[in-house]
Amino acid sequence: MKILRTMAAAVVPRRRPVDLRSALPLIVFLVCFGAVCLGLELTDVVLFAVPSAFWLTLVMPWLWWMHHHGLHGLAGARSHIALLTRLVVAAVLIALLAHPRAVRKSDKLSVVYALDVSRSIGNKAGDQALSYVMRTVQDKPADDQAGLVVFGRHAAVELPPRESFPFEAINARVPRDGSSLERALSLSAAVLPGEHVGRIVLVSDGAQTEGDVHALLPELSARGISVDVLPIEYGFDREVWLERIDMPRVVKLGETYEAAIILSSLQAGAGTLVLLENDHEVHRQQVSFEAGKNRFALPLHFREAGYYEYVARIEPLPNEDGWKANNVAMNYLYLKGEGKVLVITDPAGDPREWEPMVEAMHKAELAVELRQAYAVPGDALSLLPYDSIVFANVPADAFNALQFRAIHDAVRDQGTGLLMVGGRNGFGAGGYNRTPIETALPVAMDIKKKKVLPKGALAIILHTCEFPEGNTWGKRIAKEAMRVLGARDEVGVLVYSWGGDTTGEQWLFPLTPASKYEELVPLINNAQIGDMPSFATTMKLGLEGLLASDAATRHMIIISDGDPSPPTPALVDRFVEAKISITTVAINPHGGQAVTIMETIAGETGGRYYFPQDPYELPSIFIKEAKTLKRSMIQNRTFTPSFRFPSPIVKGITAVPPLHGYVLTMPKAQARDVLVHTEDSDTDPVLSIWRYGLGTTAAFTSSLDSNWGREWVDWEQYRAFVKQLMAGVCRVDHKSHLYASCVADGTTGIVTIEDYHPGASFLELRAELTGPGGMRETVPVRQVGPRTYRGTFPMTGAGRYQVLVAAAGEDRQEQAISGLTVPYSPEFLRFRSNPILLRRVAKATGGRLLTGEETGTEVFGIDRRDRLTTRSIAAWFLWVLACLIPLDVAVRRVQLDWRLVAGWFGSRRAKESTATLGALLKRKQDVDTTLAAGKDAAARPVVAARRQRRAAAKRTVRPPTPPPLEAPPEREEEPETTTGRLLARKRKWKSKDDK
Amino acid sequence: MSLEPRSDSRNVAQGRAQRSDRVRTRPSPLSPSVPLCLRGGVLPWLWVRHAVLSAVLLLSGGCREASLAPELPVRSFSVWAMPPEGTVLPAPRAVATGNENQALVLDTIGRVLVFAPDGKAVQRWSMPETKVGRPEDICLLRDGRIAVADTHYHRIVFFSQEGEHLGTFGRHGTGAGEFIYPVAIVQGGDESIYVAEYGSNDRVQKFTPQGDCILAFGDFGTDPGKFQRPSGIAWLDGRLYVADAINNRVQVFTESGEFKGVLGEQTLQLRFPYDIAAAPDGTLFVAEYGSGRVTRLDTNGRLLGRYGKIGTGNGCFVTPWGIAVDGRCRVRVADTGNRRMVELTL
Repeated sequence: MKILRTMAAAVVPRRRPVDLRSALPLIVFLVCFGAVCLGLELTDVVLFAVPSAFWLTLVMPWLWWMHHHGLHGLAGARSHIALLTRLVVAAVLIALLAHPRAVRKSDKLSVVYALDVSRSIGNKAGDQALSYVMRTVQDKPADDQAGLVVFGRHAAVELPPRESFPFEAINARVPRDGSSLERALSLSAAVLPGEHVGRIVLVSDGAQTEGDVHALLPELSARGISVDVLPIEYGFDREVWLERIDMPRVVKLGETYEAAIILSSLQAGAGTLVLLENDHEVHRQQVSFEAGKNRFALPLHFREAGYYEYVARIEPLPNEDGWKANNVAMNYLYLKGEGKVLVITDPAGDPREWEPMVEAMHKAELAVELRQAYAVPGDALSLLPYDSIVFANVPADAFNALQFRAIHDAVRDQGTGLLMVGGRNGFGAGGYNRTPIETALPVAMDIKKKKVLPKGALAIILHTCEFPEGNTWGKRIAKEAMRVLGARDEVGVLVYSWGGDTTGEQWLFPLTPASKYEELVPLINNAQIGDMPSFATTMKLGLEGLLASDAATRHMIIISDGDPSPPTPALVDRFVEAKISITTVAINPHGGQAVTIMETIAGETGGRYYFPQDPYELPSIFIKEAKTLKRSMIQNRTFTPSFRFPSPIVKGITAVPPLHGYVLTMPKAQARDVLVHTEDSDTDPVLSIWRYGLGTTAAFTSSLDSNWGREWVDWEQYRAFVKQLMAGVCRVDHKSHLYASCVADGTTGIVTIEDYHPGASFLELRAELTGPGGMRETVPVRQVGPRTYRGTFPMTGAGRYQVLVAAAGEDRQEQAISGLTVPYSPEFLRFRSNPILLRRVAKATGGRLLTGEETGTEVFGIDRRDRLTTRSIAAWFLWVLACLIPLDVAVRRVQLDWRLVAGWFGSRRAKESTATLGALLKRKQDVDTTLAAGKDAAARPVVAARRQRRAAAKRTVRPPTPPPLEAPPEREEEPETTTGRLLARKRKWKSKDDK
Repeated sequence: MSLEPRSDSRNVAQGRAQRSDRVRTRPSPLSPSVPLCLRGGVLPWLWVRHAVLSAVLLLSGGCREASLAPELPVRSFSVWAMPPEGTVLPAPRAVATGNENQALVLDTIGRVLVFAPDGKAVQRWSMPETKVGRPEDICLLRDGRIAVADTHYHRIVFFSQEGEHLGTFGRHGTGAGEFIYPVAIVQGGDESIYVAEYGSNDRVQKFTPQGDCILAFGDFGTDPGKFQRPSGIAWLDGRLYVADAINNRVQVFTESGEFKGVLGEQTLQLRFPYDIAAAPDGTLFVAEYGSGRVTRLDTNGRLLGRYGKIGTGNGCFVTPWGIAVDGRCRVRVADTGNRRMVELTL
């Protein structure tokens, strides 16, 4: 009942007659509202996402009813305006609830070229495809947009769709040993702007090795994105390839075995079969083969233990083969023997830095192998013969990233020991910050607690260079230089950049602590590096930044082709005065003058000048330069290390001689500091050791040579110390009954583990896979037979895959390791392109099959329909609503004196304003009098009363004379203000109540 | 900005004769008989005008200099595609007006391209040598030869209209007739050739049409009359206008090398003016490398208009390097960063 009463109360009782005339405003408004909404919808100007909201229009008659029968007291036009305002508010609210969206039409075309750059395309076809892109893009209509996505196994945006096409070279680095059409089309579709008609031109051979493009086609079709395809076609009827080399599972020294090479061919033929053992040719023979699989056995003889890597190669007769890349097979064999110590030396180093240590190792009957840094293998399996690896004062820039990764993985997964012996090129001073080697060592290279340690500041100026991938190289070397810096060192990069909010010479990022490396790298990756007109502005910016820094060592590096305008001598002098050195790196300089300018800048400021012939030299140059800031980590002082944690390494040693220097490092939490140097409250590790993965690593932050360790070399316990140190680090062999082997099956690798333990026991196996490109994942392993376990893993392309198996069960903790090498991409096992797949893509998305002969007009000049896109305009409606609601209230509640308003603008009728106000007051008094005169007035018909009020109002509003302020005498005794009258009436009612 | 109430509105009133009487007969708004709050006729009127003007200023981006610069009226923005060379898409670097309003263009792979007035590339040839670097300016001489500033080979190279190599002058050095990096070239009214160069020997040299050095003026520096990369030069009515790129100014010289002044050094706010061209109507067009725009000036340095901004779409430029104006006042811009030629029809 309460609800019914509430509903009834919501409807005002009928007080006035309802006829067509009174309902006409409502009808007209509803017709107009419907027409406007329908018109907007039909003409695609505005779309309403929730049309059901228009059912709320049924509220409008109720609003009209409330207005028509309500006691608002408005009359005439004002009443209509109030009604109209209220209806408009309701209409806007309803439209808002219907989720209005503005429609935008565009017939502009955005085309993204998806260019296959995988190795199966080949250089010649790749160039032809790229030429096709260049040719057609240049003929496109000016308003249309073109972009470029390149793809192999992954895809990357080379140029997003724009009206201009500023292509320099393919700078995006994508793995090219495979093709993923799915990733290519997915990325291309993602970069197409939604407001334009979208189209993808796919230039590929259709040989996808990863992903499934079919899954993506419905989505593209639904988005209205068509894919034109340009097949790059090839087919080989004559093809020879090597599938694998089968090696013996168990071998012994001095015996002869055979390696089985599996060769496949589409046709019978002949060729030369070559077998390389550790890069040395051991067999070469003429072979004839039949169509299908052929097996060739070649003898192997092992004279000593070690790691043997075999590469088989077939050299078919001319015109007998298609792909050359698949003529290779690889495998390895590890013949376990006496463990060796690998001592890595600096190619530019002094032999005296490692000779005392190596001599001590020899005396300790350790097998030692010396290798210069560049000769260290780049895969972990090749390091199997070594029980430990020793870094003898080698700088980080002597290695590449693959070597670091291989050493790290060998320590972690194979149990190889690692010892770094310091010197000026060791630890942080050698540039090992943020490398896998630092991760493996028991000390950290970023010195965070040393308040006294001076910090360095490095400003890098990157000028775009006119050689292919110049900007990519610039970014890469900047990142390399930053990586080397310590956490407290500051680094900033200056570029000439355009786009975004600012243009011109500017800090890509100002001097920032290098500890924010991870935040700075994306800034460099996303930078647009332009051709700066002058060195002066960037050098000045850099100088100001360096001067503002409190760093003790300040340095600047400029990489350029040398053609910006040179700095003024005064500016160079300021660098000299501030003792800020500048190193210049000239890349493809424009003749002698550019060289002279850059040489002069470097020479006058005390920096170095480099003129690398190969961009691959650049990273090491920058690391060397960045290391100039790191010299502060070297502590040239004499001290005697003190013992801290007891360790077998110092067994029998009660005192050690003094050392004359060391490199500052920070101990890691789990590390054991055997020897330390304590001064004041700071304790620096001298000898620290810990377990890392399966291996043991140690750091000796001083040197074991005749420099810092000159008194150690002559120390009677030096050999004992070295022997015990190596014993503590070297790998300890544990007997294992597990045998692991890996084989490749297409793009899948299979690892098989066999258990040869004499007692039968259940094992829990865990297999960890490491692969190319930092790939690391767990391989699920399950038992497939008695004592046999198997797991499979995806192979993402060519490279080396290594599986470490750990087994646990019934007092057994055993490991086994195996690996395989994939010499070529699975792409090269397809001998013809796949145009059928490409045609299918085109058909499913409504695209065309291109021939390669099209002009740009034909590629872009297709029949195009307007692309409709919408965006919410609810915010506009909210603004309108926010304005209308006060207006709605104002129309009903605020009485404006229009003559007064007109008077503000200079109307001559301004003086009449007071008369108008007076008329209103008079009218209000009349109404008050009428209401107070008797209650019978309320019983009168509403219409009649209203007419009376209108008549009274007319009489009042148009008084012939006199002005209302000259009121009748009887009113003079009453208060003149409304408030006063109300107070008087209140007093009157109060006195009545008292009576 | 000051708001002037009635008195300054006379200009408007005079233009509307019918309303002028009403203005004159309007009673004084400051009549003491009217209360202050109703006076006015004045204050509300001022408030309204103030509000309107403030809104206009706000919407137009405030009082920044750029927003107050007149927009150069451009009727059309046409893009000319640069013909690719295999897989390479070169960028235009310099442009000059050739015979019959053709455009002579240099690109970043060392080609000389001839574009017909409709934007079609009709002829091309390559520089004799490009390994060390590519040329940066081109000019059609009155005797029909095409002169190219072969910047990184320190010389001026002449071609016939058909692309035949006719000869060179200049060599590396700082003496008379020698160059470090010749980067701009123009011909004067008396057939003389003016070459501007940079590379710490920044100056302008004047040559006879045969390549004999007549005089040299300017030096490296920031003082008036000195240059930092004078990368553009134009001749107009006996005056040389040099785009002094790094100093962000245009300097004026007589044909005898006498420094006459700087055009609007404070007011123009140029940003790396890389090239300057004289139009047939006696105005100057400047390509601003740093601002991605074209600026039009008169010979007194008065800013007549600006066009463009940094970007890749229509109406935008990225590091525009060269500019030329043909006989019909069509402006050709080497939009280097966007690797396209642009023609603006005014």
